Amino acid sequence: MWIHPIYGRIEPAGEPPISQTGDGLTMAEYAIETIGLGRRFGRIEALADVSLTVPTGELVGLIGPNGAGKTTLIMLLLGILRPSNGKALVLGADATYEFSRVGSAVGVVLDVHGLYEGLTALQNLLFFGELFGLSREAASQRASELLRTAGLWNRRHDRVAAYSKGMKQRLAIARSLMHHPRLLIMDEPISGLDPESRRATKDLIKRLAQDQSVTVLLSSHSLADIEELCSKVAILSKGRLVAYDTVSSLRQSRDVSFIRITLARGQGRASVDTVLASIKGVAEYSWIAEDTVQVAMARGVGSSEVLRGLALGSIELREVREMGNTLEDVFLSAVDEEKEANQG
Amino acid sequence: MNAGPFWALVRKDIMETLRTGGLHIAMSVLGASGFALIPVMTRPRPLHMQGAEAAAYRAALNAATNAQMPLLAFWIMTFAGVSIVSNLMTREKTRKTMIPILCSGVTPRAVWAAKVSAVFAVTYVVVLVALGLYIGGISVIERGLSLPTLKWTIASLVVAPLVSLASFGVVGIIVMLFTHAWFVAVLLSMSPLVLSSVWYRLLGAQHHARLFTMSSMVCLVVIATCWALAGLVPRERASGVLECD
Repeated sequence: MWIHPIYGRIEPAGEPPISQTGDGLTMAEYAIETIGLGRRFGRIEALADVSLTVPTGELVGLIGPNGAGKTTLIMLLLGILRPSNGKALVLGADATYEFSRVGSAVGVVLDVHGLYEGLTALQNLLFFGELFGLSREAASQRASELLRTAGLWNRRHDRVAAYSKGMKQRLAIARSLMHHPRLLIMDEPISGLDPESRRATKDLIKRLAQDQSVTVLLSSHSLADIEELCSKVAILSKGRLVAYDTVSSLRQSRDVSFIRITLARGQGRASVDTVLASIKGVAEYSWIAEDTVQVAMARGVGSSEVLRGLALGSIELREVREMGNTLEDVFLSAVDEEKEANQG
Repeated sequence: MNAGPFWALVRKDIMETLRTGGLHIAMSVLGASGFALIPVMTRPRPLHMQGAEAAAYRAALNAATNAQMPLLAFWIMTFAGVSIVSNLMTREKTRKTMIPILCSGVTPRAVWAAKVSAVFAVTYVVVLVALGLYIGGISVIERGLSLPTLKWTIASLVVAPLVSLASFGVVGIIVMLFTHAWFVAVLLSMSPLVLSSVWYRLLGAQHHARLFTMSSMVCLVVIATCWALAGLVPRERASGVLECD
């Protein structure tokens, strides 16, 4: 058992309760498997030929610019939209045709909370609990547990309309956990939360994945959150899957990495320019402040080689920071490459 | 089949109907009562009428009073119910609550059936209360219990509600499919008016028993057709993702 500062007591999974309800889904190697998945809306191709696999128990991030097709992909996985091409298997079941079985084992948090504002928090959870097939008693017990762990117990009889955005988001997450799902599909679950709730929600997502083997597909615009939480990242751009790998592989996949060098007082830019131009492996560099230069190093070149070259050129340094490649660099580069390919 | 989710939907829709449909119900009761009160207000016999003339007048008024009852039931149920069904369905789609419902594995047909059932149950209770008040008012004027004949009781409690139920079913399906279509607004505003006009016209004809039987049969066929169609509504249409963004 784990006690969380905001979500409180999180019970260990033990025997997954969902199997007790007999959802009929087998433990597949992949929680999600899409094969050439595509969807058109009239002339617009919202999603094209997306093939990806999300291994069971993994926490996978889904990123992409606005209109990249993230929500379309999520709607296809939930069986809300029908694919124009290909198919989506969720927990081994076809999402389009076996949506009842899929629904009984998948929890969903969408960017719009989708709660009944006229009902109280407790009524919302009881209602959805019964929709998930729980008995009234079981739904009541689970709702009490989740309201306590979400820090909403004292406000359980208040209408949701009176809740703050963060509280609604926490309630939506609690709703998604009502039936002990084996797969959580979350679209922007952390947006709009205050720092404390943000941290608590991220910890909860991590714990669910680590301790309870819940597979999580997390769509977010916050690359820092994705980088922190997810083991693998899928990048969508203009409806196409442009990259899908582990975060570390993606970060190493770029041809250059960066270091940022701050010069000691009195060092001339001209001499630094001369030295940097003479070092093999420096792909390019740019001055980002009067005394700071960002150096792009070719793949396989370490920062020590650049620093040695500067030392040999009698350049004194005040500070050196390894910039590496952030997920943002990878994301922007992947999206740019896709744009260039489309223009070409 | 597990009926739990369906009854959960019905309970939730009854709560939503009571919470949001009060004004629709009040306006419909007011409008229908105004219409139905005409024979009540004309009950006092003109002073110059005596003997056979007075008896004929009284018989005609009794018939008119009886004939108003199905109309009262029909008007209250249809005018209030149609707008509440469409309102519930539209809110479900535009507020994106339909998506989590459908994600739980519930079918569009269950959502449709729950809404129609919930609105029917609430408006039926309202009709029972309204009819009770109507009969009570007449009894006070008559200074004695004035119950309607069996024929008009069946027409009020069975036939008129069935016609209303059929209209709820049709409207529910159309709004589920096309929430923002222009013809939905036309249908919603015109259908009760057209239906009630036809109904009123037919009630003036003879052979009421045959008319009521035929009406009920047609309504049952319409409801069955709606049930079948609700099973064919694509989830992407019902969810609102295609038209509510």
